[in-house]
Amino acid sequence: MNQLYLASTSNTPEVDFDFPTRRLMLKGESYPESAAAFYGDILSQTAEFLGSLKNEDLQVIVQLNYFNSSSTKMLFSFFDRLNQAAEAGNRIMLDWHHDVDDETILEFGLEVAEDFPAIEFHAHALES
Amino acid sequence: MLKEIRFAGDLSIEASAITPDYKNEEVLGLFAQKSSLQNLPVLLADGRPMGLINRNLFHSNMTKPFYPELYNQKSCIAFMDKNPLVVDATISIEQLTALAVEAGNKVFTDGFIIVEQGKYLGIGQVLDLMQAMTALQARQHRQLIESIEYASVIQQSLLKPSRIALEKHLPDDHWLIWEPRDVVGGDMFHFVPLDDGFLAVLFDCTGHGVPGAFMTLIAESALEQALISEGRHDPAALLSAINRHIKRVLNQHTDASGGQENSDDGLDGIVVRYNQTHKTLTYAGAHQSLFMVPLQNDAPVVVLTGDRQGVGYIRTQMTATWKNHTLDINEPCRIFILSDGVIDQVGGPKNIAFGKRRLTHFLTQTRHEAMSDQQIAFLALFADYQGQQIRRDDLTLVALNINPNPNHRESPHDA
Repeated sequence: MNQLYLASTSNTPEVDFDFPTRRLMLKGESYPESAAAFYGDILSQTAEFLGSLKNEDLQVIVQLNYFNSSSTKMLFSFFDRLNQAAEAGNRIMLDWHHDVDDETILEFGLEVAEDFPAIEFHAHALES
Repeated sequence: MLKEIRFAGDLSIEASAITPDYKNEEVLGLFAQKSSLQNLPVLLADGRPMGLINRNLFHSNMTKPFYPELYNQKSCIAFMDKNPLVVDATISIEQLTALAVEAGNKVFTDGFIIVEQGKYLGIGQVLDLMQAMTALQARQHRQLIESIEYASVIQQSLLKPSRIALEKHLPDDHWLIWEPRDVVGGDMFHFVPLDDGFLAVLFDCTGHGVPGAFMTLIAESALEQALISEGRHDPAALLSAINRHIKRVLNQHTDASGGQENSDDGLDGIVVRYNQTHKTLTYAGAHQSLFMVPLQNDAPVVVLTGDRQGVGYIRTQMTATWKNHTLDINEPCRIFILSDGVIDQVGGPKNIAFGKRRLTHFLTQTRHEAMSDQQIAFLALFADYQGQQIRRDDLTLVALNINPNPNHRESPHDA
């Protein structure tokens, strides 16, 4: 599969899903008018990619400083798929970046870690 | 422009046209006669357009060495653009704009030919088209805004009974901020005064703007029905009933849609029941918290979290339940319920979320201020934090003073 790259906009994050190198990154803010429309293709490509993985390592980097509730739902579907891929024998590492003072984003990350235990979760506090 | 321009034909300028039997010498004469003539359409005998002669292109050819000698007596089609943009008078301004953009640069200098049933009607200029398009967009924008503003009147009418009830029941003991991000929004609150206390509800529906507002209408009607079927004393039962209602009306239950894509919408919310007789507060929350601020002995602010399960949505089961949490209220306190828009607003020097910690700190610092002063202070703090950032979501915050011993209300600090 090829790389999936979308530049960030004022209300959508940078999406850099480099499937060949096993590195997926989301960075920025997410509050599109229709989260389902924005994430639909991203999720289906990711699902196809995850289906092709067998006992592999995958690094997922998330550095979001805002996402609205409909994006949250989409992100949960994304993590759900990653969790399934981890349960299927792959090693999924989730690097969760948050500002050192941003407890809201950290808390959300900790909830993700709790809900999707098969994913290796690492929180990274960014000094700024 | 007095006339509303909607179709290509409305842009038509009558311009004289010639036939292919005109010679270049005659074209030269026509351009010389009329300096404002930029484009000259060439028509077949039956009136169908054949092409367009552009003044500048024509001149740049005819001034080349020996060209006049060679071409003066030849047909004018020699220097004619044989593929100008030709459009039917009945196409819309939007369609015409798309065609003009597709045709590219030459349309800006040459304009386009307008035909009626295939026959030449006149020519159109891009500047006129741009003016028409701008006016059209302004008109559409105005219609959209007027429509949303009227929708806002309806949405505010739904909230009005609760506002009135709050004013009447807790005149000096509440404050309320309800600010949709886009005129209408997905937040709603509901307040029911009871003989022995009150029931307060805050819902933060999926989305904001128009889809969010649609959801508040569904939520409001779900709540009305749940209050009839479940009564006013069991917050968790109300959330369950609302969950069933939303899933039913949005066809989220299994296979209801016959294979079509289901809506995956719902709400986060909190339902709070205060019982003055029993001096208890019972709440049930769906992804929402209650901030409780004791007013005496400077005890810390308590953040009471709800269940981590949304109301409605595909992943929430039809049979889902929520937990009631009950607290004894023996001393005066202030409770705060709020939508995501408060905690998640991006701002400050680092452009990060406002956060629970900042809110808790504010509530601690201002706990002894009069309700109205606290509201003013919150609005100032929030505006300052938001700064130049845009509002990310709808914003609702309801503050309620609870005093279990109303006889002592004149001296709340003497404990």
